[in-house]
Amino acid sequence: MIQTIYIEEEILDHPRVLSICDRFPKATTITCERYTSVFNSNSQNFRLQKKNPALILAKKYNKHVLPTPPGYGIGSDRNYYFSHMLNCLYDCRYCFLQGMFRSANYLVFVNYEDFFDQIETTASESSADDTWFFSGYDCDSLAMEPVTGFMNEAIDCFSSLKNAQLEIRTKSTQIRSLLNREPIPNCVVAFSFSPEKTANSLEHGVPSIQKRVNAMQRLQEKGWKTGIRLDPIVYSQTLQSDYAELLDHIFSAVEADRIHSASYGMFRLPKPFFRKMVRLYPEEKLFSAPLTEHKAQVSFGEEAESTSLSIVHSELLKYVEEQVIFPCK
Amino acid sequence: MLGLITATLAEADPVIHALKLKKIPAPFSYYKNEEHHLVVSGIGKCNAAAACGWLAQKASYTTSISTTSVAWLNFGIAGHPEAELGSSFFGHKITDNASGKVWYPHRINSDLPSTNLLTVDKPLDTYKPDQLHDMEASGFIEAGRKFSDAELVQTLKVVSDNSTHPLSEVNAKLAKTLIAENIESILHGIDTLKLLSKVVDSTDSAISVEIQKRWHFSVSQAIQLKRTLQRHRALLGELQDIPDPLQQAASSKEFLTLLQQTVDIAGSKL
Repeated sequence: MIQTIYIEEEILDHPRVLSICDRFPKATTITCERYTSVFNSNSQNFRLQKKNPALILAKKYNKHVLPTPPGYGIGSDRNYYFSHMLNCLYDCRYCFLQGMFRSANYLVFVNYEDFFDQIETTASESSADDTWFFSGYDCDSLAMEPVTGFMNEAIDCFSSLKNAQLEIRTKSTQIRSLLNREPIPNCVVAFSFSPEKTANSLEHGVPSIQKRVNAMQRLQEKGWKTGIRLDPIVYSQTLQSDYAELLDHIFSAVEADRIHSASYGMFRLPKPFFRKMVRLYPEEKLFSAPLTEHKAQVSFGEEAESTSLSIVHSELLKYVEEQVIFPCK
Repeated sequence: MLGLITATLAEADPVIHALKLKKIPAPFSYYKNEEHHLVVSGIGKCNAAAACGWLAQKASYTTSISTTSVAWLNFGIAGHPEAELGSSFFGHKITDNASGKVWYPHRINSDLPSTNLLTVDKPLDTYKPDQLHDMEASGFIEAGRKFSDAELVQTLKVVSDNSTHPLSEVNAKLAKTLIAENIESILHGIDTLKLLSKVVDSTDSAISVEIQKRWHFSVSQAIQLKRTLQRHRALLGELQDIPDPLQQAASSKEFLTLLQQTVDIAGSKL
């Protein structure tokens, strides 16, 4: 799996570095002064690196917690995200990370405590109990959990933060650490889904819908709050039947009345990201679809978006109450 | 296309024979066949960088190949304090001893091990620990990355001297022997790089060349044509011939409009 590990010189003896390296005894380790000289260097090709990504272990010095972009959230006004990891084990062709990062290497920050300190500080800045912290913005929250153990420690942190809510967003089925502990009330494990057709053509290396549904079902049985994330929606002429089938599949196993929240949003990308992704994958059908450019974003256009969002909203309403459905703009 | 840069003819010789390269008159000692181009740069990082730049320029003028998809390999002998004589390594952390500048070539999927590589301006009296010592890699890698993606610019070195076999014992005959003994590893590295470079090959297709012969495209129109042909390939498969309605196009502008319409219609059916 991991054949190369870059480690910042400063953290060579960090206990988490040692324990992560122990999991990959055959990997070649390479020291670097700062991760940026590997991760941010010029002329890298994301697509070529994705064939054989390395792991980079580093320390993050600042900006551990950031406000989410406008429109990202599930009903609260106070929304933040944090990324203990940059890049994802999976290879979804629609993913903006391909356009955002120069490198496809997995970057893990090992100073978890600094993330938790910043989360506590941010949560304490408001007396309201609906400050949301989203994980899984720059990576999949759980896919690397057996290696990093980050989320298990994050849940420990949130268990003592009564006024903060945590969303663990994932496509992974790595839920063992969650099943091995008691649920906490201020945490939602949110699974991302696309219809079968889209998943098969665009979500490379991702666990099947069935496996994700099974994982969600097991978490519900254990008492964890769960959510559904239908983002990005990729326009198709068969969108209605695709989503009807997907939601039927999900709710044949998952209990609808125990769904904490369902959110959805259209496929859209900042123009520079889109252009880079086209350069990486010029043969990709999705990027050859009739997309439009508007206000620095590339999308399927207003009409297709409005139709698609309306369809998905209506399909969700067949299973869950209006108040738990959140469009992501 | 693969660009091979090495310092001396002694190091080049086994590769020239293995790949059946032919000598071509040029400012550098230059050998090639259809896929492989080898330049004997002379010793030192400036020579290596100059050879790399010269070959990239030559490739862009004399072949239809997109320069960005050229893969590059700098091979040759190097010293190492402990490694066994004749062992070979890719360089995974290249440091220029004079400037302190460091590069981290992405480790390509190859069975060969990799290690640190220090490029020095002149041989050191004592080896620095845990790294190969050469005189070309930093110049080569800095130049190669100007033309191609970083993953396609790699170094492969065979250990010629160590603490028990000093540099003073290295001569042309030994260099040639060591490279010859490692020819399988070098060819394996070459094959791995060629496979990678195919992924990013954006060389114009035969049909694109034909279209641009029949109609005159401006630079910006040529870019639009390239992207529209890519979209055609994604949605409808490779355009094999110029279809009838497009044959009648009076200008490149009309040609592009008609081709884009065809592709847009296919895209709207997704």
